[in-house]
Amino acid sequence: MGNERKRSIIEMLPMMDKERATKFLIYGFIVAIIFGTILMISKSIADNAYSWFLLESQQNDMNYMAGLYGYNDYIVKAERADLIYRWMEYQVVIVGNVARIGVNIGMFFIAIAFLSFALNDKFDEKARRIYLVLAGLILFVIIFTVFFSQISVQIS
Amino acid sequence: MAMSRLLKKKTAYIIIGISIICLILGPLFGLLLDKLTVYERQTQTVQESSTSSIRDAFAQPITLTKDQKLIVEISEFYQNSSVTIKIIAKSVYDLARNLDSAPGGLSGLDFVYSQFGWGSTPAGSTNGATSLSLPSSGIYFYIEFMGDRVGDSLISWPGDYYVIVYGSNSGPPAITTVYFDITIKVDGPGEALSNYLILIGALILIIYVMAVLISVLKANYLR
Repeated sequence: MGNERKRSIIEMLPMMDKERATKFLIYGFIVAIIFGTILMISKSIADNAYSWFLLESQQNDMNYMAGLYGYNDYIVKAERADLIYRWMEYQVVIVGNVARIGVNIGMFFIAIAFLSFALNDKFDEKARRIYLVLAGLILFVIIFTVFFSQISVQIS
Repeated sequence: MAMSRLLKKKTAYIIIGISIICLILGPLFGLLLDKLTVYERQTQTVQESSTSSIRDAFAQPITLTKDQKLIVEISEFYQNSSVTIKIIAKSVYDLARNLDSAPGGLSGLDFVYSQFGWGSTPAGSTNGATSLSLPSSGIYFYIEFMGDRVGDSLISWPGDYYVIVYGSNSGPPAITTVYFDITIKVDGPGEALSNYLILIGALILIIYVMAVLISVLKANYLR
């Protein structure tokens, strides 16, 4: 029963009708954009962690000088700021890996959608070739980013 | 079936609402419950007899838990009054009270006090002491205490303590009242509560977004 279901999904993927393939394309884009945005936000937080740390340290100094709290509270807040700063730098490892999975899933959906367009004989020959090239290009990016850690696509 | 319920507007409002409430209440509680005021009195009085009898001294019992800090703000702006503050263990206080000892003879525990100033470094403007006399050493002090200290850093010794204040009046012999202002605070649950609420709020939001995403994909492709 389970095997039958699995096979039917795999068989169905590249042979989708136009509506279903368009749906795949849109959802693929949505998933890739969501995870891509999460990844960029995470990278931005990590990149700006030190600026935040300097700001927090200055605020801590000024709060102490103003007499809002004493020396030991100052030390506790400084240590806590240091911990948060390190987390801000490290979180990109966790978020980045989760987001990478999400982006790859999204790109896989997009590639499948383009592949379906390429196999759809309702499109003219030229358009189908373009879709095939696009599907190949996306699969190429997925394969390289999945199997080679030294190669990454960076948008800044 | 359970997944599709997540996509309903009402469910989304409730879950996202709870998450946002947690994210707002966290820092708010953190701010409000950072320090708990145990005792606060402007123009607190003791009698001159407090210098010879601990029974007449101001005494505030405090229980500190692990890593909990005691904050005392004391000031002395009154005519002819001079006071001394010490922090002692409950056992020492109980014994001294039974014997009706003079508080001047008791050894106070180590605390640190800060003398805030713009441009001064925190470490450079903090000192350690076992007792402070006002106004001879200064007229306002911000004291931090946890049980013991090494340099300017406090060491946590959880337990029961007493903040004692005694003093004298240098005015006419008939006036024996000694005045001072005092505020006693301890670390509250604000920080921990804030961290927990922010963590809960963020987790609810992340888990919900993930569940919705899976739900959408499942509804469209994985049936």
